[in-house]
Amino acid sequence: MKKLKEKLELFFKEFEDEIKNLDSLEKLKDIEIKYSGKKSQLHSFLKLIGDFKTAEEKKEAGFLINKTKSEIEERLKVLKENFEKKEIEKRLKEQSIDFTKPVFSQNDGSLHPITFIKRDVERILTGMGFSLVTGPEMETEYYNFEALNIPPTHPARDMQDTFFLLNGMILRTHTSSCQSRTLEKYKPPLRIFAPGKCFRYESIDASHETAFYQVEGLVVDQNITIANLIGTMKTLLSEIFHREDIDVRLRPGYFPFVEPGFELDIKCIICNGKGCSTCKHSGWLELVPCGMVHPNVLKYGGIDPEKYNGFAFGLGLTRLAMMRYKINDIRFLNSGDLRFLKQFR
Amino acid sequence: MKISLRWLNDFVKVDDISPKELSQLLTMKTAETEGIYSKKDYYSNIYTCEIVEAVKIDEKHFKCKVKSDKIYELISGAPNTKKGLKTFHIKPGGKLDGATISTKSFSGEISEGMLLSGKELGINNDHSGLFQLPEETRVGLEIGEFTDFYDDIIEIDNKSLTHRPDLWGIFGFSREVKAILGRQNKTPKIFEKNEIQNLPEFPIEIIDREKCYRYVGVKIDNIKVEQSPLNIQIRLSNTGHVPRNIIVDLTNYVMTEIGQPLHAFDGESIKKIVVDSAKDDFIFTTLDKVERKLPKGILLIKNENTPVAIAGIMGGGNSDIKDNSKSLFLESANFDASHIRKMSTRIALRTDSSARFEKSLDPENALIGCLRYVQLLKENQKEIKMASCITDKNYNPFKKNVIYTDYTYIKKTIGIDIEDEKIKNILKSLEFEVEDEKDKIKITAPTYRSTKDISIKEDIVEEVVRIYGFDNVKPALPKLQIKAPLRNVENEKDNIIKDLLTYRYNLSEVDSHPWFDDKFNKKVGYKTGDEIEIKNPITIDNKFLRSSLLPILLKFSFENLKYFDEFSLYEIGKTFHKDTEIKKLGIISVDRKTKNQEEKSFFKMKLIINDIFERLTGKEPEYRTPTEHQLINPSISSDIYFSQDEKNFEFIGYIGIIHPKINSLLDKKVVISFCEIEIERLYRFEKNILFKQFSTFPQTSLDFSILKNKKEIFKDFENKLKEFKNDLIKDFKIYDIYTGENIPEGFESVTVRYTIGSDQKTLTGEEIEEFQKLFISFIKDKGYTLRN
Repeated sequence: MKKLKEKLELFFKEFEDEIKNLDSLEKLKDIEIKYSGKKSQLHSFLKLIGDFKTAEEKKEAGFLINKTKSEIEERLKVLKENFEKKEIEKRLKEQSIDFTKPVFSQNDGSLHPITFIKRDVERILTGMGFSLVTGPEMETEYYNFEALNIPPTHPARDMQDTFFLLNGMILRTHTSSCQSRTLEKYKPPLRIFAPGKCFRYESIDASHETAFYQVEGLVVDQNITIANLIGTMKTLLSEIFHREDIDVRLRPGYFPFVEPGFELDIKCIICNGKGCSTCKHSGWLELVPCGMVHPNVLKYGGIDPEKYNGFAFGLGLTRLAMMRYKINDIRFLNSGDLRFLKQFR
Repeated sequence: MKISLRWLNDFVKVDDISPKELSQLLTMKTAETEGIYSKKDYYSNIYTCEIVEAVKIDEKHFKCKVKSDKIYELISGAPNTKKGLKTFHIKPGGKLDGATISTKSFSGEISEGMLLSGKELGINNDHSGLFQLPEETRVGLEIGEFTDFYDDIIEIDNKSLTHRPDLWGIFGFSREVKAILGRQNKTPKIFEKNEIQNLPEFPIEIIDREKCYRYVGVKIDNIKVEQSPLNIQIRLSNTGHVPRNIIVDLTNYVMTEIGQPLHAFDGESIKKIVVDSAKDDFIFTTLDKVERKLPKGILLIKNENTPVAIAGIMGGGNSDIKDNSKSLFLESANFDASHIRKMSTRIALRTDSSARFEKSLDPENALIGCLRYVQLLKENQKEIKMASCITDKNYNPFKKNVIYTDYTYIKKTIGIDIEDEKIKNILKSLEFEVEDEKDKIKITAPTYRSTKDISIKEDIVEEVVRIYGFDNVKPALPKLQIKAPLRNVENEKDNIIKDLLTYRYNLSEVDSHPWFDDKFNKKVGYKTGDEIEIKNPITIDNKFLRSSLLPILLKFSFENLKYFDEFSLYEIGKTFHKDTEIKKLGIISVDRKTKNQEEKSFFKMKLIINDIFERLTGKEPEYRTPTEHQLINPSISSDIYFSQDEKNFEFIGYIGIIHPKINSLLDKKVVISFCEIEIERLYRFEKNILFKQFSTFPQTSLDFSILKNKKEIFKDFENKLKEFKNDLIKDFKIYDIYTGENIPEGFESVTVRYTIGSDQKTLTGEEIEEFQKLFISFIKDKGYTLRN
């Protein structure tokens, strides 16, 4: 037993000597084979167990060998981990990336600026409980005019320079044409908005287009007030212009389909009311024609004006897009010019 | 509408508030103002003077000494320059239409300021000579000391007066100012008609009383057609009129003041006034010397049987005041607004008069207009002789409108709580009569608000709220039910497509006009004919509504090719057909031309289309042999059909390469591909996603490359492959198509990938081999060979 002990001690000493000068993972592998592998001397010690007589001795011999074995293995494991750690550290030191190198994107698709604005207004109004409805661009005079309380000889028809078609229809001059269509289809209480393209016969310049986008809003319920109209507009416009509480003012405005009718101005978002070229030094921007729905419009839509009332408003989506993106010429919008369009990604 | 504040001040005190403040008040409570024009910003230092010496120095010029506050020496080029003439002199340093006048040297002679013509003063259009002042004029007076020359003008946006016939004259605005500021106002002084009630009536007959509601006329003799007094000229020019002579000027003066258009006929030319509609079309020369074709039915003023004026629009050249007229017949009438509007549009003649009549003027104003004119003329020409009494044919159909409502309704609609008395006072300040009747109030509108403006209780709400002040209404959100907004499938799906095309396929969305550009269509040979025509197109080349998105997208491509070599555009937009419109998706893609580019471009487009159909419906469309499409290469194109039930297929669009003939119009070598889909028709279908239990056991992918004759239609080949049925098949895909090296001429190698597996167990090697064997023998039976 003593002899075995000595042998093991010597073996372990030899192992310790050898690992002292170890400097690479490869050499560690050789040592591993030599001292802990199946072909190692340690393994041959196991055969010596048989030479012991008693079970107790055998047990002790086994214990001694295993103890040495596990000590060696433990040492090797630590060594190996150290080497691997060093190895990774070394590799990390060698590695580097020039993160300033460019990447080449093929993703240059773009959405039309109107789409962005429309989606924004949609998000806000839908959030306020308004339903999106649509109507045709080629419209009947009935829905575009008559049902909006604009009879054929009404001077207000001059305000809406109309494209007339040979098939007897017209190109709608405003999205207000969706009002009566909606009233016929849905019963109050209702809250709708109708975004869409409209057309006016006028000469085109940097701020006038024959085709442009609007969104019409309509609320019909019982006991709707002018104060409600102002409150709703403030909420909507504060969201659109990312203001906490946008200043608005109402003044008289004439539109045959509302009574009373108003022009709603917002405090100029450029100068905050101080006066600048955008607001023509008035401090206010004319933005939303609106008013209380005219009882005749409700009647045309089959709704009893004695029971229900409501308000309507119109927002120029094209105008909003131009304001948001500071587009200085409306003609870009219908130009198909990629130098313009590619900026909206 | 130009509001002269000096003139307005005749009726209501406004000289103690700034024009800016007044303009602001009118904007907030009455009508939108467009700006303020203050004449003193542009003119100054203009004095009355007398030419005390005038020496001709050459053909055209005089060297003058003029006397105002002192003697000035100057050169005048005016032909009427002469000693003793009284006129206006602008001193050096004075402003004339914004320009500063300085002492100038003129051919070596000093010229201190200048003498002025009517045109230079901005009073009239006369530039033939110096403005002549009456002999009795005192010299050395600044023009502003004795006239309204330095007036402030508030310009009102006419559109905001569409519904206010009462505001087409300055006096009307005085009523508004009275209510807004709580002040008193005066009415214009009118002639007392009883003074001449014993004179005979002038013969006036209204035959068409549907179109003419009232006709007031008077004949006046012994008139003088002379220049109006300076201040009348100044007031007229400041409000946008060109003074001519007092007889005509006063008609404009009264119109500007109270909004009633008048017409002065030459008294000798009129024997009897007959108001009737034209029985036939005819030609008539108006006083502007233009021959106009007038339609049957148009209302005319006739002298017995001869037309002398287009009622409410313009007088005739055969009866207007001439420089030597000695007598006048004055018309102050009222006509049906819609008739005037219709006719003035029809004959394309809009005048100050028609613009007012078409707003539904108050017939009461016809009498006042006449009396005001007589008053003013009498004040200026004492010697006139009234030749008839004030003859008034009155068939006024309007009554004062009466509205019953209650205070609660008014307050509830506005959303305010104020005293009833306050509401009553507002209405009274606007000249409404208000009577309390039990739980109601009876409101009677003045005549000038009764022709169309005020008729329902909502109108009363407007009157109250605007004068009360919008600023005093506290904003409040409506109390509405919680309700989920309705779904809008069309919008939802438009957005899915837009995001897909923009963010996955890198396309750019465009927007365009709804009409064709015929010039471009001609250039590329796109034929039109059945399209809906616009009656009043913006240009003659834009008269057809588009029936396809192709021409505009092609046009945009042509334009973008100047700056870009490769790009893709799309639009979701309407096309127009007979009496319907269809929402279409058009995609155009421009690729640099390389080998086989036509085919590559075609299939790139097909990939996009399939993806759209997959997203929207979960199914692919079917591609069929193309029918003919304009500008599309018939050999590299296809029609697109769709069916949700695999039975009823419908045509839904087409895809193709742009015809090679178009390429000759371009400098760059490109291939343009296009597709147009009636996208809205896909929106009816919903994509149904249902979870399918997947096998928990490993699956195996097997690839087979099959040699296929290029001439065989792929669909046929694919259908044959689909005949191969095996329970182990979990998925089948065409994986790759390859031609080139190692592939026999005329063939292509099609790699198909089967994913096989079992839901019960892991497949054994034998089972996999068995599957391979089965497939290979199936393929051989069908007459194909495997590549390896």
